[in-house]
Amino acid sequence: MAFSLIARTVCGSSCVGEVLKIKFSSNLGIVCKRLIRTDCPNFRKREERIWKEDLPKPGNGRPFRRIVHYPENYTVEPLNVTNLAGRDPVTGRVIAKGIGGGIKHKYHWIAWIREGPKEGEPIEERVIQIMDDGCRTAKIALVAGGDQLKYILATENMKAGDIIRTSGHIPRIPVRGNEGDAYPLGALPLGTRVNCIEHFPGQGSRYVRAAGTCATIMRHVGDHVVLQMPTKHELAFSKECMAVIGRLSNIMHNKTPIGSPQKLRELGYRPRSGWWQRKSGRHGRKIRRLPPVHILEEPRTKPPEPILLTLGEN
Amino acid sequence: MEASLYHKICTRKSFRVQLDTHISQNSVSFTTPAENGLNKTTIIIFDYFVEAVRERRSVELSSSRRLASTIKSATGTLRGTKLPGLKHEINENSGFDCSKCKICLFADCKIFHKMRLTTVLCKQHIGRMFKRHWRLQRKRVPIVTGAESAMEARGIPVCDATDIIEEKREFVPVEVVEHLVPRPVPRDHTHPFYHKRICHMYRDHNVLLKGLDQGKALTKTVEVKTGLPMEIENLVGAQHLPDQDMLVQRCIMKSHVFDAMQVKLPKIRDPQRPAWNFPRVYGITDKRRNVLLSSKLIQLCEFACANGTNAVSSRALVQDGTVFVPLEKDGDLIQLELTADFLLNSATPLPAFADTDQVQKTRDIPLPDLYPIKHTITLEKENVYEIKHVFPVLQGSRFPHIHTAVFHYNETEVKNIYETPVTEEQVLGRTLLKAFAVAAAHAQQRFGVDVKDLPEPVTLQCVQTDGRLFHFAVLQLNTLDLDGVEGKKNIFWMLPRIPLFSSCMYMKGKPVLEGYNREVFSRLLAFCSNGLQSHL
Repeated sequence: MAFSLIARTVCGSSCVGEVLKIKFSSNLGIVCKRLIRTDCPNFRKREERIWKEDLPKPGNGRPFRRIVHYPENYTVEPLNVTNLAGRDPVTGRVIAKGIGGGIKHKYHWIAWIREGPKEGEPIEERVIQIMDDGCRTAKIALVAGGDQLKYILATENMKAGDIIRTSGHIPRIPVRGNEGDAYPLGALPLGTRVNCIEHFPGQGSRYVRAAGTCATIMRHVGDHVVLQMPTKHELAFSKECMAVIGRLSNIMHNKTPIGSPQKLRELGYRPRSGWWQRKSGRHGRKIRRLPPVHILEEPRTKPPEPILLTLGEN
Repeated sequence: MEASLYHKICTRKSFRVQLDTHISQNSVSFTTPAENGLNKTTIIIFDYFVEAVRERRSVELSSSRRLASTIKSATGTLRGTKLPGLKHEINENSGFDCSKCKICLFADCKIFHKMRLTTVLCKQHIGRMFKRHWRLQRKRVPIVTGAESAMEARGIPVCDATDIIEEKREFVPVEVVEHLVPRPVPRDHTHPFYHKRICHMYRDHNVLLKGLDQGKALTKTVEVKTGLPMEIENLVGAQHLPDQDMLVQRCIMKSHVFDAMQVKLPKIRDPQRPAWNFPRVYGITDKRRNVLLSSKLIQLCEFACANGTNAVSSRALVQDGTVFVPLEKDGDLIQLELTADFLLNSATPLPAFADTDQVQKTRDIPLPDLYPIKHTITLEKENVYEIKHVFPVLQGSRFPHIHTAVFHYNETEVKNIYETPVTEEQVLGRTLLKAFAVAAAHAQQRFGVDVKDLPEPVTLQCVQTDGRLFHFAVLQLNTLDLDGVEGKKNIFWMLPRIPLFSSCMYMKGKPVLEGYNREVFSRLLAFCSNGLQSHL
């Protein structure tokens, strides 16, 4: 049974003297609270506190430098970006320190997946132009084939007019490809220098994408191909993982000094302290024995998303 | 339990209430001599009473409004019939002994009667602990049992629980009042002009990736010789205007420097110093500059041609004529949607520059090989389009034949999709495509929409200019059958781009024109005077 009460609220703001007719069932306090909150602007609900546990951690491939506004379909049109200055776009808190400012560059969407026919002749495409990209260290190449345009990472000696080939076929005899050609790792001879290596077949290039880097094919072990990465660590990839032959362009990148603090600011970094940290590992690592070969087996399945339980309707 | 709740309420609000309680056999009444009047806490006390009594019987609670205007006190009455535990006598003056009270309506009545509410509770506030615990523990990861796949393996359908639990709402369509400014129609499959077949669009801002070579492959055009046809070369210098160079230089200065337009020009960027901000330049836009220059030069040409002939009266000038040409090539639908900035029309058609023998010889000249690129690359692929045949001059016009076209190249409008500067080859290719579009639209108007092999060739002289560089070209359209690479082809003659001057600007506050080239105007004059009575 419902109870009715006519009460007069005296709570010190715009509700003073207002007569409220309340129909309540159990706890009048809550009813009053809700009424006050909706009626009085002073009682408006504040934004919820952001807890430290809810902030993301830097790393794991999540960018805190910029958001790229990708359209629905692939395009070579340079894309607009929103610079984040090291902040998490959800909470707005600084996650990665030392990032901010600099020249705003448009983003060139690289076609990471190089898919070729499993049998028969390889696909041929022509390099139209080699250009600089402000958002990455290596140069990029505009490539045309059929009526499609796309960007790939340019290799060391790639130039406009070159024909590049892409094949998914693994022949009995290894192929000796040219720079910029993409083949499965299993199709390439030992000692080949490769870049843009797929983590797992069909997922698109993930390893060796920085300027002037390359990995070397060391040996074939069963269904895996062991590569020496730029870090000198050895990784064993599936032999069906695609890789591009050659060393990536802009080979002087790591030898070129930034030059001045102002240039560093132009690159989008904030001024940093000159504090010498002997032990933190910031200024070089201790030289240790290399770890054993890491075999990349099946891709890990994504763990199920946690369910957020709620008390009541909120 | 109830008493403790009562304590909590009272102490939390730091409010002490003195209640005079009177309990008769049938009712409980109380009065609050609250100085502050009936406020929130009083209401909570009311609530407490109600909660306590409700479990036993239905009661009615009403607040007395005796002193409604000033609100100094309030009386609540709990009226019920036969409270079961109240058998003992109640002495109103001395209060009643709660130990005799068997109902637990006012458990721990002593405190209640004494009204000595204290804050000594010796309790721990677990609210914060609970909140933190809840915040951390409310995120639960479901355990993957594999039940779903097992059920599916046995043919039992699995569906989301929320689909069943969720209340199914039927939405009632609401009529939306039409906006004052009608909203743009979304360009998707609901658009009235949506087609399943893709159309490749070429518009004024497009450029071809491979430039002239791609243009030739697309329009099935070949170059038989370098330079312009001999007929036109012979006309260069035949006509002359008194003080011609001085007049042309004045035209250049008028359009490049002296025009009163002062608007913000595009930002200047130096790739070597990307952080450097140049001062913003104000001046004449490229569009206006080109329109001014072309119109003035064409006017000069008409003056020059007017010597002894009726040049002005035998020509018509169309400005900003729109041309739409839909074409079929190798199974692709292509539509050229272009603008002819100035189109000079004449009463008689231009003579063909290549005779039938030469046209037949074009069968042996190969088209440029674009492999592995297809000729439709960088044309815009669209599903929303309208196939239209548009030519700016109507069929019954006195001047139906195209003569000379002037196309403008505005740097701010013409761009590569990948935003690198447009190359020389691409500019030349643009001339070819524009000339082809005008000639094809004219041919489709003259010989019918479905014409493939033209009964007689259509010839067009054209100039593309960016205000400084002039690209002179001539196109003879022999066929509109663009399929394949065999058969009759169209013929294109052209010169490399010639500069009209090297620089024209204010230098140290003075307007300066440097490096004027007289060849450009004489060539333009040769184009305009071609086909006039005196030269036939």
